[in-house]
Amino acid sequence: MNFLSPRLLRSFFILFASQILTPLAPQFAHAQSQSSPPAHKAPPPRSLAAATDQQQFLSYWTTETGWRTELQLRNNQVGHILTVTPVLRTADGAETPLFPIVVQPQEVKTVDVATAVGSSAPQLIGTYGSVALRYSAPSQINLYAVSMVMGVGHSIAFHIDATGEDQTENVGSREGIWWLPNGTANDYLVLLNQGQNPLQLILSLFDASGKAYVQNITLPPRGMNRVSVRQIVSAAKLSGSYGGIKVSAVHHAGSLDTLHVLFDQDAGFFAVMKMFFYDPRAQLQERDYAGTGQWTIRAPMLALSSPDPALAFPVGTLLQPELFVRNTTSKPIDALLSFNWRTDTTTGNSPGHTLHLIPYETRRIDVAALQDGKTLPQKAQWASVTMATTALPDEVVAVAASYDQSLHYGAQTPFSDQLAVQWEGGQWQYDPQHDSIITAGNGSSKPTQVAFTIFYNEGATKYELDQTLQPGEQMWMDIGKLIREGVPDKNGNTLPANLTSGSYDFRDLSNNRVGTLFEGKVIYDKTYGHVTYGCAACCGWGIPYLWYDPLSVIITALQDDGVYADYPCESEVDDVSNTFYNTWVSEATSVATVNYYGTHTGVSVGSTTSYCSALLTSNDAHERCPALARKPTAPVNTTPKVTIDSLAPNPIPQSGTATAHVTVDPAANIELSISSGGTGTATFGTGGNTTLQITETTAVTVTAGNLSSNGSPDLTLSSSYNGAAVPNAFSSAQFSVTTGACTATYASSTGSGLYACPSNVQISDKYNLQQYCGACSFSCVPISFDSTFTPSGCTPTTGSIQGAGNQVLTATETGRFAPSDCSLHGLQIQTTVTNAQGTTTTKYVGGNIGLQCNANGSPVCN
Amino acid sequence: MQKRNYRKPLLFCALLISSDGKAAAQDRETPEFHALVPDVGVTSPGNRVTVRGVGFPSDAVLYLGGFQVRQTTFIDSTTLEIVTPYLRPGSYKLQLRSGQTTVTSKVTFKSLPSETDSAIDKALALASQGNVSAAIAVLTDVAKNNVDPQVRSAAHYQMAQIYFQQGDWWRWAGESGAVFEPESGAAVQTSWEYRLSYARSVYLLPIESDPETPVRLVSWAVEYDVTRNPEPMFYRSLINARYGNLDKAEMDSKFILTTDPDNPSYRALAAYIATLSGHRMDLNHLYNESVTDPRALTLLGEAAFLTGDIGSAQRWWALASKQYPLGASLAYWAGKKHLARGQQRVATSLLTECTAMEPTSKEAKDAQALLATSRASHIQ
Repeated sequence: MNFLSPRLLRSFFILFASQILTPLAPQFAHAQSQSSPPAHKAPPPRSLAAATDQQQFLSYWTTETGWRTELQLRNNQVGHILTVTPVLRTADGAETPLFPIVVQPQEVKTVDVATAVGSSAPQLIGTYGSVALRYSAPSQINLYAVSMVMGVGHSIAFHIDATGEDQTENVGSREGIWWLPNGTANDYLVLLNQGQNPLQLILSLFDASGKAYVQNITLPPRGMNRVSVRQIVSAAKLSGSYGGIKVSAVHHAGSLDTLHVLFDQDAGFFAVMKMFFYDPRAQLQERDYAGTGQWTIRAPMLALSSPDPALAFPVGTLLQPELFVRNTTSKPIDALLSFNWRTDTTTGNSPGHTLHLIPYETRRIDVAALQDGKTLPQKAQWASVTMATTALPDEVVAVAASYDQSLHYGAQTPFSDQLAVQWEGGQWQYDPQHDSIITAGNGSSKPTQVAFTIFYNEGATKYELDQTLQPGEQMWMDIGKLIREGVPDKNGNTLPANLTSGSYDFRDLSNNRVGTLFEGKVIYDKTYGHVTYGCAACCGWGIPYLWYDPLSVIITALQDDGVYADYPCESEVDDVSNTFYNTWVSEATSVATVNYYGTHTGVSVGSTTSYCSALLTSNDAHERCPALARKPTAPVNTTPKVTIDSLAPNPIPQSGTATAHVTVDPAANIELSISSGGTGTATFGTGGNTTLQITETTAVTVTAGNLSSNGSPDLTLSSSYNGAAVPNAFSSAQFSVTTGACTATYASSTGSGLYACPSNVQISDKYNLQQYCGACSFSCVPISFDSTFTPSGCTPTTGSIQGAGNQVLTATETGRFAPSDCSLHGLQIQTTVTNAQGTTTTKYVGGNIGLQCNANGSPVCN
Repeated sequence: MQKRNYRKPLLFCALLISSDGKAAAQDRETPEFHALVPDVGVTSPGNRVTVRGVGFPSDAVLYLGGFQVRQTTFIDSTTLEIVTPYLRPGSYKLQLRSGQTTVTSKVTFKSLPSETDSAIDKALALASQGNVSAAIAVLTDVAKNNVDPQVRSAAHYQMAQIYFQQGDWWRWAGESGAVFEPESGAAVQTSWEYRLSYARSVYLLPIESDPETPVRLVSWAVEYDVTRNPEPMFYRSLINARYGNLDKAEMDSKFILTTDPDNPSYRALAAYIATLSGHRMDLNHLYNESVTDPRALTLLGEAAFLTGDIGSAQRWWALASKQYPLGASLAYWAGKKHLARGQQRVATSLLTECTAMEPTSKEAKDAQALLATSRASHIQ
């Protein structure tokens, strides 16, 4: 890769995150104040979660006459392909799998459902249902999927995001808003059972004032029900053109999904009425990403009265932007609306607009009326709408719509509370008939740096832009403009002029654990003049865990600890330690203390527990990324310092003994053990035991078995305290058992060559030595040399892994080469080895070394 | 390098018993030798001989002149069969080893010269006449071509001795090491002369990475020697003394003085060790004696130098130089070795000895340079 990896980027802005999270620190007196970040030595993390069977659901597909469905599948992983099997479900829950789709990393693949079923499952032509997407991956989030349902020959296109099933969720409801924009618009309210259990539902429709109509509905396993709100409203005699929808599940609420879409084929109108999952257990803290103490939702791309020319609406088109805001509870709720607007040249923000909503009320806000030059400029083209409330998450929901009077031209932007570090976007399009506009905004109260990346060429090529965003500010990407005008990215690269589609992502470079970014995208289709909005998937971390569990720290010594968490979006494990800085707590500082950075100090021998705590963005089954309070905890054992000062001889001759001196500070019950990873064996003393209890500093006898090791130090003398290995250096020692044969095998020689005469030369032979023993003796001498060479010393050295029986023996001879001729003069080294039993051999004569003068000395030889 | 412990060979603990003495170390019957049949034979390729006696243990291994026999076959407690090792022509006493017990005997075997010995004798004669190259050529031929590996080892040893006499130390060391061909068997491993030659060459020449190697090798020379010759022990004592192992050095020194109390070298060694230990009394006794042995003279000179009596040191070294000028070169190499080991005091005495004995030699100049460098680094 030729750019900074996402992992590095996420780690780079450590201190920003820690500063943001500091107010979240628990009310404990922390052990030490901050100094400078230590050079932590992290152990290898656990393996990333293994790939398991995953499943997501798209709530609607149809091949009915006049409709076309396209599935978009994006692989969010880095470096791993994803094979997805779409399984079409009909309304009764029957399943028909389609051919598996292979999606390259960062790639978006599209599947035309009618084409896919045309040959293999023709019975599915002319029907509708839901889709289960099955794949194997470490995390559900590794796939981002969309169902695009389009009216053939009409400007109708519904963007439907996939979501997951949470089988642990028993209570909750889906909350939405119904709207009848004219007298002819149709609608579908899709109620979907993702799971394998029947689903008992209570469907409640409210008029604008909160008056309710209730209906019970049962969905079979995997089944769905498609109803018309218009018909129910009419039958229930609810008044008005808008109101609320509540779909409650008696049980298995985590298996419920809903979709509400409006369309008028004659008018060329369509709208997606986004519905929200209301979880009564949700805490404000986990959804208050910016830490404002309020729950905030945003609609980032509300098209205002004067549409952006980039949308290519006919000249003179006048939109009627409006908002629908609903109180989903039985209590009154206040909310504050505000707008960040932009024209083609300027941006600004509006003063707040307070709403007081009575129980179950739905309120329509005419944004067009606010474009009076006081609240919003008349020429403003876009607004990012923000609604903040002190109510709990999803107790207020909102939908934005912006259409002209004919309903033919318009656009939507969904409300969402999600701020994230990273957004993995779906497909964008640009061709003579399409254009895409993508935005990302800063939802926090501090400036932030944003990286925007476009992926194309099957995800293999990138186009990168960075921008600093002030609070509330958005970066605005007209993909068509970037391509048309050849706008260079930060690396000077431009998008190919013939590029028509790709994917994208946004990354928050300033905040790496709880992000500040919200996002939005619209795709304009000139064929029919319709604009669809797209969503991206946020990314969060898995459950964090401490580097060490348990943590062993030596008395009076320091031991670093930190935090890891899986980052499934990129199939990586991240070191998220910096998020938890300044939150570390030791429950017994008399045993161990812990500082700002998680570095522990052993105070006295004993056990305690330490932990740290912070908010960390996560992933849930509904493709949201709540910031959950995480508190990774692990036992801390302060152990005595145990040092194996010496173990000699090493290797130990077969059936021989060695003495190991072991220092225990302070005195404590320590278990010594001998383990073998090879053929060598050894025991303590003469009793044949491989474990030994000691209580203080002592010397122990290690008795070698009668089988030698295979050359490697395959035996380990280790120490443990309370069943855990003592962690200090030299608390274990490797050794081996040897026959003491010290058998040498010639390997190579060096030193031959041309020298400027006279010259001091150094030559050497290397031998591979087997069954080495410290009792072996070595010597070397030059032989077969003539008077031109005056030896000055020969040095045999052995070296390899401490305690290994296989060593390298090097015999190095130095001397002065001073001939008066240009002949080649030979020389060898004779290496003598005396084994551990005292038997001497000289069968070791190395290679023939040739010494000759070159042209640089005297005599001058060429 | 870390100091290592090592298993000592069983021979180290051997108890020496005279077969005609009554010192019984064990309950079992002490072996006694009565006769060898035959008790004469040519040196190579070895003679099959029957050993008559009583009390032979089943694990008995026999030696002649300190050379382990090529083969020992236990017939019964009164009869052993052996194959003689290669021995230079002469008479050799028989030794027996069993477990940790070594028994010596007055029973001898007479080794008669073979054709090979004529060649070796010729070479030695040539060397004594100063025709070293011719002598080496003859011995080289034997060392390369004789079918008896023990003869080949003997030829290497003889070449080593010739090179030593010439002061050609590296070739001496090479041939001393070349003695130990695996095919030569245990005979060459048990010869103290072979082992001592090799151990001395390792002590003097290679710059060992393991400082224990010379001590270990000379110890093996002592421990494998069933004849209990004092010479290996003399050198072990000397090397230990120079390496600072004064207790071990003193133990060996006292032992060899009990076997040969008038030996001037042994007495000089005792004085040298005493001086290193901070005592001067032994040295005082020798000031007024007439010593002619060059080995003793050099040691006395070194001892005097260590006490600060430079004048006496110079006198003894001058006398040594007249007897054995090559001693200066040996002192140089030993001094260089100890200097590399950081044994400044011993190294200085040896290098100074070299400069005193042969002040105009190249080695003396090198020694002076080493001394100057050593002094400079010592001052720093």
